[in-house]
Amino acid sequence: MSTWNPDQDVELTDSEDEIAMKRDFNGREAILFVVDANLETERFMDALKLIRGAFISGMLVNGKDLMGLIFANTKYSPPPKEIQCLENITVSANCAVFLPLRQLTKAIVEHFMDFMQQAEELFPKEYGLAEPDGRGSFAQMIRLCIEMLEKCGKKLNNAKIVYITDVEEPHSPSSPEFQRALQKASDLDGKEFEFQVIPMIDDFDYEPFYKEFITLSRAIELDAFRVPDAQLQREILEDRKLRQDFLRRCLGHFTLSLGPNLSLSAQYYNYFQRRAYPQKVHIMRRDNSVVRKRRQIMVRQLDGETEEITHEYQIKMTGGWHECKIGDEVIRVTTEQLNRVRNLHPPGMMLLGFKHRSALPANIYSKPCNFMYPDDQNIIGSKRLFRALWQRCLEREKIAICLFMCKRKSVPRYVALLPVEAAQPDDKNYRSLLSGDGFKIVYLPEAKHIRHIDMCDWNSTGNTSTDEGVGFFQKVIRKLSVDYQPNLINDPNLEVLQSNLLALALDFKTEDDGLSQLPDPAMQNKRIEKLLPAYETLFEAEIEPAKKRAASSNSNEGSAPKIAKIEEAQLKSYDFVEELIKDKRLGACTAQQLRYILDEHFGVKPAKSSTKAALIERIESLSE
Amino acid sequence: MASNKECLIIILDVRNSASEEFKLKSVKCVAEIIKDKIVGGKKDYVSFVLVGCENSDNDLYTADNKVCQNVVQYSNTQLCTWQLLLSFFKFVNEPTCDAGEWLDGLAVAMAMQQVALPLKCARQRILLLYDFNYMSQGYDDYNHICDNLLNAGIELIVGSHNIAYIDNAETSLPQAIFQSSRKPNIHELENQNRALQLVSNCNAVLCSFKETLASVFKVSNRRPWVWNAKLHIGSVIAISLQGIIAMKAESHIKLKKVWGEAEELVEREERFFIKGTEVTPLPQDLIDGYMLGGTPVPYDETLVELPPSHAPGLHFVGFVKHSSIPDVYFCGDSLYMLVHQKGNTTSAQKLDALVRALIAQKCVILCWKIFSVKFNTPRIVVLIPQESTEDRPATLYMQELSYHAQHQFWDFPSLRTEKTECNKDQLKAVDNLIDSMDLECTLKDTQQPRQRRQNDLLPFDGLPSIYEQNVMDVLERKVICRAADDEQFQEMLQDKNFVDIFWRVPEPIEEKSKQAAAALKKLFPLEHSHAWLEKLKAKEQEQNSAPAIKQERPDPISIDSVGLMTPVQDYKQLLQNVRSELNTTKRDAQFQSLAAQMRVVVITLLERSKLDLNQLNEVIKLYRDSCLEFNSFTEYNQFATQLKTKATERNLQQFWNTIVVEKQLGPLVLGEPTLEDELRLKKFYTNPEFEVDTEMQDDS
Repeated sequence: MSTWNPDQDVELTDSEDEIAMKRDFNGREAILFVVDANLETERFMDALKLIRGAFISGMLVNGKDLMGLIFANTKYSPPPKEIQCLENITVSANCAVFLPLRQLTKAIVEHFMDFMQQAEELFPKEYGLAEPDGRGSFAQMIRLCIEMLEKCGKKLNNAKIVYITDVEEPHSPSSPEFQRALQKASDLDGKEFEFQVIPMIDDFDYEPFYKEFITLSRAIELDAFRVPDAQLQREILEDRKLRQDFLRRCLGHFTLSLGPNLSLSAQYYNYFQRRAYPQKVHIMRRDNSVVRKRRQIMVRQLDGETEEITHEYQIKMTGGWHECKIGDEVIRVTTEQLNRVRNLHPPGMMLLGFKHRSALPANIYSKPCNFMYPDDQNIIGSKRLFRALWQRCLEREKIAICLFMCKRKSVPRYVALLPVEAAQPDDKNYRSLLSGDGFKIVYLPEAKHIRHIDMCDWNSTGNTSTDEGVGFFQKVIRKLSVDYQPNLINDPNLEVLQSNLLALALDFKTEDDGLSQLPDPAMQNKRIEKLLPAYETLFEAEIEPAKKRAASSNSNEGSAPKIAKIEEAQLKSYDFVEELIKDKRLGACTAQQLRYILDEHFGVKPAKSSTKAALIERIESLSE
Repeated sequence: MASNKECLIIILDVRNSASEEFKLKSVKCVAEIIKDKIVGGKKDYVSFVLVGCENSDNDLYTADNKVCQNVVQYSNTQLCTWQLLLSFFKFVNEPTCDAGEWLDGLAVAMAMQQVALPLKCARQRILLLYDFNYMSQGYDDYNHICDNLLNAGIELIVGSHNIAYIDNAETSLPQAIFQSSRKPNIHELENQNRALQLVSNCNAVLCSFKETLASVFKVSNRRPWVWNAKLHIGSVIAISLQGIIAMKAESHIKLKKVWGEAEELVEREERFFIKGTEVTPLPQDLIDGYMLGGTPVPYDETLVELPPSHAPGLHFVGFVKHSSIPDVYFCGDSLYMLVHQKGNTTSAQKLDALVRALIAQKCVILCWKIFSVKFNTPRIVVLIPQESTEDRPATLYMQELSYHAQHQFWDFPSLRTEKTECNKDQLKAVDNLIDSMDLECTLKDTQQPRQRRQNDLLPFDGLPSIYEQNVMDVLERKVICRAADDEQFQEMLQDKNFVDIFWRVPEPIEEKSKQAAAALKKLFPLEHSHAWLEKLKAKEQEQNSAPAIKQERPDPISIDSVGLMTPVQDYKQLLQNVRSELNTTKRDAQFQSLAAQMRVVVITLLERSKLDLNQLNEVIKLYRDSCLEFNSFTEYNQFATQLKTKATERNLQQFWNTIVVEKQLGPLVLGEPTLEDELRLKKFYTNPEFEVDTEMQDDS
């Protein structure tokens, strides 16, 4: 925050979303991996690789997450490395805890990678497969997971059990074990733990068991279940991403008022998170301890004569007050009062009317979109009304215009609700992961946010290109077209940082081709090689218009510092300065000179950010 | 925001014949303009002219007593302040009469603009708020004044109360007309005609009150801030472009924030903490690093080779189909428009060709944006083509995309399930709601005059900033009432007028929408869930009852250690804990660790550039007493020596004399002092060798 300026602080930044996110992350996220011992060696190793990927990206992206690993359907239950962590946990038969839920550290990941090296040999010997048919009790496995999550010692905000298997039917539908497993599904719902199955085969059939188990564990109707694509599931898991359960991870609940006494409840979601860089810290050289830097605003009262500190206190960022001047009188507005202005209306969404879809301009932007989905928990029956509204808007190409205040103390915004539909089941690209059925919330810019620019200085009849020019670029487009693959686009600076961190900490080499660098122009040249000669004949060489002011090549000319109207030497005399103050001529001094006056005659060193006006004010007040 | 300052002269009609409602509205309108300029921190100049006063007081009248009678001008043209707003409220209450002509007001305003020329405003505007009623007005100077306005390049906005809009039959563009319930008399007709002709005679804007504010605030900028960049495709093709901000979500409220009273010194400091305990490391002790999970990893240029910085500009990645880019991945807080470099015809032609080719191929450009050498982080952006129009050349919109690592994937169950299936009546009721709340169509069918310029009850380019409006209104009230204390403030907010005007369906469709909603309610049973309410209640209780146990504490030690803010209280409290320990061995161990912390605190406090002597006195004394209590003589005596060394090193004469010597905080002596002890103490209390001439430093 190098721009911090106490004289003019625009404190009303719209950060309520960040606050919402923070609250959301209050409590940790936990992922408990469960690997089915039934997986054959190759698939088993693939599963471990997936987990390694998830561990590493988890460490890089969200270091505070808890992760754990259990093997299911094993013959033996060898204890984990830290045995004491199982003190109050009963390990079920045919299950083995490899890693209790922990925040990952270098040591844990190294331990896991060591195990991976020898897993092919060691696993059958030390863990084995449950006898006789490799089917341990599913219900017991879930019980163990629940116990581990509950006793992990941290408050959890979002806990997931990720079961990696290729067995479609852990128990036959007629067996009592099957019923017991379903019983556990309801437990998961009650405890708000999420269950996911990651199939290691592509054409995995959810019908015999998992469809019922999952819908029960999420308390949704059987016919609302959408069969996920197994391959895509695995790919995104490696990035430590999972298709998230809609119920648990929304940004907030609210009611949409459609008229007097008619409201439905809904929740909203984000399509992407804030950009997360690894947390930057300071480290003590001698013992590697983490040093946290905090910025504090200190207010001190000085004794007028001796300049000694008589009283000192710290003030929070949210402290202080705003000032309005009426002539000489100053009116204070406290932060608390401004907060109350924010809180004038209860949060919620209100329908204002409908427009045709085409009324929404193509390029309108204020802030990232959100997604809205009904919530039957608060107002029962919301889902049906929501569906009716959504379906008719979709069919009639209508959008709803609403006023939306997402949280208390947030800013009310105008939004357009665009009906969107989930991708078809056979659609297997990344786009299909985007959303389901519901409304996309498009935030509309306020009138003041739209800049009106008069382009008359750019307009000229010579701007239009010839048709040959257009034809040339059409050819270039054909040659250089690519498919948009979001998973290949990552922040290059972040990738370099992450691979360096891994190399430093784990001696783990990231494959180079994974790093997305800025593209190589030589490659692009090569693809349009044949077209390039035409470019030079079609378009003249660009002549940069003459610059109005020469750029400052050295400090002596160009943007030379302002020439002072008042001579430096005169300022040394206080009588002269006093005269300036009396005649209100301080404005003629440069800011540098004003600082000099403050320092020389009043012994005050003003903040670097002080404006000239503030400096003059200070001098005038001090001279009185 | 880049905006060029303007000089705005506002003419108000205060004649007795002007309707009261009109007068109230015009004062409100002016107040809104002034408030907006104050709160937005704009450097615009404003002044006023009243038409229809008993007195005549303006520059033209002073020069020649025959002209511009009954017109009063405000004493000066100035920046907007709260004081100006209050003065304006006083100024409009000048005694009024029946006479007064709007052309005179215009003439005075133009003269004032002339006087204001040295203020070097980029834009000169006059706002005329006038009731064009049945009173006869002179129009001898009409053409003359219109020409002058046009020649001087002064923009004129005319606002009145009985103006409505219809679509022009030929151009189908909106057009302002006068609307009245009764037949106008001959003067009224003439006045209105003259006002209407201003549009064609001097490009004036004629608007209703609602639109007046929008017209005043809608200022187009000829010289916006630009970001100069080159778009490179391969290394041969390069187009010089300029990026202009087209939309940006930002707050326009500028209020001076104050942290301390005038005589207090406010400073921003950096402090360092290890597990909650403050430390004062030297810069060379610290190394930068990152957290990798729970492990800190040192990271700086001595350990790894940092990649070289990227060249600023736009680096092409590929052409992609427009339809393949999901707009939900757009991020950032602004939308840029890229246009060719001003005056560079070749780049204009290239951009035009590129844009047309992109549109023909339904493609957009994916590229990396490097803002500058300083802000060097690459951002992936899409460039969306916009074909040239009459008033703008071909452009590209630039929109930032989020990265894959940020993306969230949700698993939403389908909405179309058996349980949510609706019957015909229900769908019909929904359709009815959609139709009766239509913001566009109901108006399109009829050719009735309407209140707003656009044929839309909620045009997308005219959405108000509700929060900013509230802040402005609240501040205005506060300034007028001088409501200083919290109670008055609360009362003021209770006055719900502030918010409710925004939270309502536009008036023309309000009644119909209510009926449609009522019909809908009958068909869709909705019920508040008790379980949910219980859950909310429980959550609230949980939050209210146990704020102390804020789940995991980030640094549990922070509460168990002596901090720098309140070391005395911290130490006393912790000492109490130590005393309560029954096991003596444990107790001594605890005391030793606490004492060690305290020593660090004292040394840290001593290292501050400005010493708080009172605090030091208290802290050292407290520590000394505790050492006596816990029989920790050796430790204290060692520490006392350390204090002396520190004082010598840092030349802390005042500290030494007024605290250590005067308050006798030297080594501890067990029982009655022996001669040896006394000699030892005397030696301790002798002044160490301070540097002689730097006494000033210690005092400052």
